[in-house]
Amino acid sequence: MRRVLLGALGVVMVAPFLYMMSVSFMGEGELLRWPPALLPASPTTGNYAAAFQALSYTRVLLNTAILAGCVMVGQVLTSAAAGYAFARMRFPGRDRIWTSLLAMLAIPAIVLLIPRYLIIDALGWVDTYPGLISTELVSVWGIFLMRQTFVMLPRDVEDAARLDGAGEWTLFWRVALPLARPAVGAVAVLAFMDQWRNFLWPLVVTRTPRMEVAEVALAHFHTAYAANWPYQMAAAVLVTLPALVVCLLAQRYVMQGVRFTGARVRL
Amino acid sequence: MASVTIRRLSKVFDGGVQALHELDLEVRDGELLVLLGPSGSGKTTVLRCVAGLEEPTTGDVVIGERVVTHAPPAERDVAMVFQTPALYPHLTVRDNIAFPLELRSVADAQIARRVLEAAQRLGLESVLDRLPAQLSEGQRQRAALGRAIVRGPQAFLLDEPLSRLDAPLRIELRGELLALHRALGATMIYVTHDQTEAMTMGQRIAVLHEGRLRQVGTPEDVYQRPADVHVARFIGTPGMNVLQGRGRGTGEEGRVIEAGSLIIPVELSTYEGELQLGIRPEFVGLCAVDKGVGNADVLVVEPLGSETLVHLNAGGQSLVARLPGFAEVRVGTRVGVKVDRRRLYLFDAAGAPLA
Amino acid sequence: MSSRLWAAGATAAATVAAVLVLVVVTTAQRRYERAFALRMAATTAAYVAAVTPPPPPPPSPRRVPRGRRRAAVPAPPPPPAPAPQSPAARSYDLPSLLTQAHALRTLPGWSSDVEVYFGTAPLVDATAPPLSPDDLPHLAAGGRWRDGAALVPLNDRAGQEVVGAVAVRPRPVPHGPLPGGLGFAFPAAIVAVGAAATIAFRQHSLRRGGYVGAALLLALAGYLDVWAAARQSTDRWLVDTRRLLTEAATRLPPPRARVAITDLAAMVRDGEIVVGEPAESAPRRVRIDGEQRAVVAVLIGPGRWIELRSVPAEAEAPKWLILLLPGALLGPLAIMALRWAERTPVRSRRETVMAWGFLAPAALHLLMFTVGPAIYAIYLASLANFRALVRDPLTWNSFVTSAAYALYVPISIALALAVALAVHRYRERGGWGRRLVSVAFLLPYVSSVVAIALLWQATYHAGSLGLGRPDWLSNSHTALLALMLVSIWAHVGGQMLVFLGGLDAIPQAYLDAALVDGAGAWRRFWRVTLPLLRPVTWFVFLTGVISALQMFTLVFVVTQGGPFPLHATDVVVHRIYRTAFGPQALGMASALALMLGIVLLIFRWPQLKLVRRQERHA
Repeated sequence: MRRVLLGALGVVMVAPFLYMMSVSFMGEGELLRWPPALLPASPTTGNYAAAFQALSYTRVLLNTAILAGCVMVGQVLTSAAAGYAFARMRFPGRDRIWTSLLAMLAIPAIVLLIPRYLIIDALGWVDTYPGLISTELVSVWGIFLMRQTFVMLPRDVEDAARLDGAGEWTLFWRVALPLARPAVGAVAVLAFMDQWRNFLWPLVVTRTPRMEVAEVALAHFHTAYAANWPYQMAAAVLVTLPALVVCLLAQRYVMQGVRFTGARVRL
Repeated sequence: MASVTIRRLSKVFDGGVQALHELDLEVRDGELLVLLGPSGSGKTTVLRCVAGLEEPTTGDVVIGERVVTHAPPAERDVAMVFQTPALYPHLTVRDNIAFPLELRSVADAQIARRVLEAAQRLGLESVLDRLPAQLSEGQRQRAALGRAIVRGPQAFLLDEPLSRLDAPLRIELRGELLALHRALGATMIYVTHDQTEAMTMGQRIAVLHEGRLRQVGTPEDVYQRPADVHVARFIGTPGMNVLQGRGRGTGEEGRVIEAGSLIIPVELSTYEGELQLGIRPEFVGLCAVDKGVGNADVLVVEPLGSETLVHLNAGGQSLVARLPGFAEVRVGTRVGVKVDRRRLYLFDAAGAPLA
Repeated sequence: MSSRLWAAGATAAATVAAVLVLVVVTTAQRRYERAFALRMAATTAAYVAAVTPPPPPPPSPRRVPRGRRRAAVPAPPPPPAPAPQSPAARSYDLPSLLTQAHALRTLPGWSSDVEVYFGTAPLVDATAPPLSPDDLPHLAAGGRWRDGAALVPLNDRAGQEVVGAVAVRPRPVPHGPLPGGLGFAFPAAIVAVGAAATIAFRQHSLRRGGYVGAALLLALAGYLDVWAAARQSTDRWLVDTRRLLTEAATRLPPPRARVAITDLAAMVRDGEIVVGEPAESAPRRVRIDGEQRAVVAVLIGPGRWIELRSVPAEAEAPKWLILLLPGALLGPLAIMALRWAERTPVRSRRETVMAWGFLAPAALHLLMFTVGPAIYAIYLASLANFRALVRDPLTWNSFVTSAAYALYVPISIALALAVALAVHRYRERGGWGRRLVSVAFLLPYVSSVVAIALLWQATYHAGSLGLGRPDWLSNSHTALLALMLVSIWAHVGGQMLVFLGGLDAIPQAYLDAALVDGAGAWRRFWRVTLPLLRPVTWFVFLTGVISALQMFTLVFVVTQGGPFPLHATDVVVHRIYRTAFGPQALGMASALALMLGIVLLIFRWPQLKLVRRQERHA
């Protein structure tokens, strides 16, 4: 009974995706008939070839990968470094700074959107990689998660490393960071997935197709080929595919991220 | 190897707690000195100040000829073994032992040789490529030792390294540590709260109590000639009985100390008033009622096989008698107490010994 | 550190801070002077273009233009001039140009020296060095500052090709009460350094020494100087342009019998000209439609007044405070750091420096891209914008729509919790099935959001997967419901997995104890499971609402806020986007974002408290 319930829910989750795949192989008018067809009458891969071209798939994929990759590396490094300082170093005002950092979580991203855009504009970075990437390089959540992890490292190991001759940097880089690998993985995957699907900021800060990321390109594709659903579904499958691969490879970290963020999708 | 000298060392923690008071201590080159004290006596703080993990509030730490009071741990060239093995969980035993050498940019070939040497000494050759999680407790602590000895430091600091192990393993490793000390001729400071360990290991024992150094001496010294009442109480299992008493009597003869229901004749003739009287349990005996220096009620009897410990209440003063074999004593009965008058220790009310 | 060394260090820090402020002030003043000169040069170029008539029709196209001969006579042998045969060169009548250029020099009351180049040859001061031939193509890209003068291109009458240049060299004018342009800042700097030296050498505390106050005073004084320079740059342009306009009114070439305002307006492209009233000739500041404007009255003919308007440069002078305040406060901060270093042991000092090294990247980034923008957002959103927003029914509609949309959150949570409770036990025995099902539930969390939007739009459109014929999305009453359904679908799987994790974390002993106490399944759920699950549930609920109120992509892709005219799915963030990047009302959009931010705070606050509590447990 429980197995059936779980299975049924799984089917509900997957069915729309399967349907998307199915439509992507249909002919142009096929979806508009009544009753709607579930499977293509004569499957064709032409949609994919065309969408691949029209989307400039490799270019937008490269842009997305650059955005997600840079942000991932940046967030991991800044979060780990700051989290380490808060967790394992003593300096004046530490606790007060930590509290004000947490207070920054209360500033919603939407309030920052316009001023950030104006700053990027003033720097002359609109429609460039620095403009796309720079605002996202630090995540307070990431710092929070890393601090939590570093706080729990045993003190004896730290002391042992100090006596072994480790300086503050070695301690961080060769002892603490490797020990915090699960948290690093969570921050990395979270940053990567969030940026892979980041929509509003790239939409605002890019102008030319040359700089578009996958999500924005797909949205523009949608506007350009409004009525041709199979065509659009092919593009949607193309854009979703890389993220799916990541999900399968890093399922554990994705799950950790979902739990850490309280299961939210930025729809 | 080098000597370690501590001069007028004081440490006040952030909260205002003073952990150490003007401590002076010298550990000679090649000596194994045991720092003994109950928990909270500040012995670990001493060790951490020597290691450089804590910065002293005042005073100096000297290793060899060098004053290292404010030097970071990495520059002191001392090795430390902790209560927990404190191995790097993400490195194999080999990499754990090699880590301090790597940080000192020792050549790879030499690292390999020295790691192997250390491993052989400790019987770790077969587990070199395992992760700490895959080792037994004893192997882990041995690996931690290996990490300490591999770089041949000026001094070894051992912070209760055996306290977390079960008894047989503890005894086994204790022997190995002693052998290691002899083989290396190393200067070692060994911190423990277990006075059996202190007695069996230390060439000299330094006894700490409430942040003050009470006595430094050989095991025999601290056992037979305790410097004050705290040392007397702490050394020995069980520790010395200390009775609160009052001198009474006149003339050359007939001077006694009254402690609870006991009236003990003493040969000291120069003191009158509040004082403390110490006697080790092995010099307390039992006899028929009214035949000894006084009577006491039996509270608890602990038969241990080779000996029996009898806990007594003598008019409000508690004391322990150690009797050989299984003694025929019943809880709740009243017995007479006798003491070996030649084995009495007298302290004044503040705990300082009376000549 | 010895006290004398310390005092010297503190004084040095204060001096550096003071010098920094003076440098900022001077830079700002120079910027404003250049801005004025460039603007003036552009206006002058437009003036020259407007008042110079085209050359008379040439007798023969092959004839060498007179301009070359004329210019060549007084000037040293000119370097190769632009091809004189080019049609552009023939767009101005050179004798008139020469006359107009000379007239500029004798213009009464002008605060700058001017030079007009035709080709590369100077016309006003014929002995001046000519431009280099490379300059003209470079100038085509825009004006530039060179050797103390603003150089802007002089285009042909058609405005297409660069045929020469206009240079404006501003004459130094006194600004501020003291000479040298540092009227307020300089004495304030002396006071600040003095205050610092006093506390340093007399061992006063920072607060008692009054240095913080002196430093703030210094920043304020510097700002006043910058502000004065900004105001002056606008005023100078107004006054000098006023002269040009009066001049232009008499000089505009025929066939214009009577000067039209539009002719003059073409000359001042970055200003505004309207019919005006008689007034005095000094510039004034007035408020027009709620915006501050610098205006001056110009007489362009008998009884004909116009008003020249410009955005006052001092309106954006506050941006200099971003440099001035930290610059001035650097002094007290440095002294605080010195004081702290003096009484801190070496190792704590080292540790602090290391810690800040670790923090620096994140801290700088947060200052620049979070704290700064947050303050900027408040600055952008003026009170007037809030007033306008409150009156706009679309604002209210968007908040109501967002709130209605967010109602899906409790529904999806209830569903997820129910399923989690139902399958919890089975899952403990689960094997490969569990893994596969988890991946299925995680799909919406990793797949492209736009793709999700498209796939559901297609599905609704086709009415497939059992949704039925009428397209829910095209009906105002059901469109939002349709989006909510998508959101429930997207969230329920992940939420369920989170609840399963929470259920796993409940120690079996609690449930066993309840069982032993004789509690039935229903009681155990209400009295044990649910209370223990409460923090997780709260967290999921709060993040869910917060993220629901910020929903954007779905609406942007699927409905664009429609169906219209009801704006049935026009959620707040979509409204913000449309406001900001539609008619470029950034201030308005910022105000709307702040309103949403305040609403979000209601949910964010308990969420942060929850997080902090969890942090303490860890």
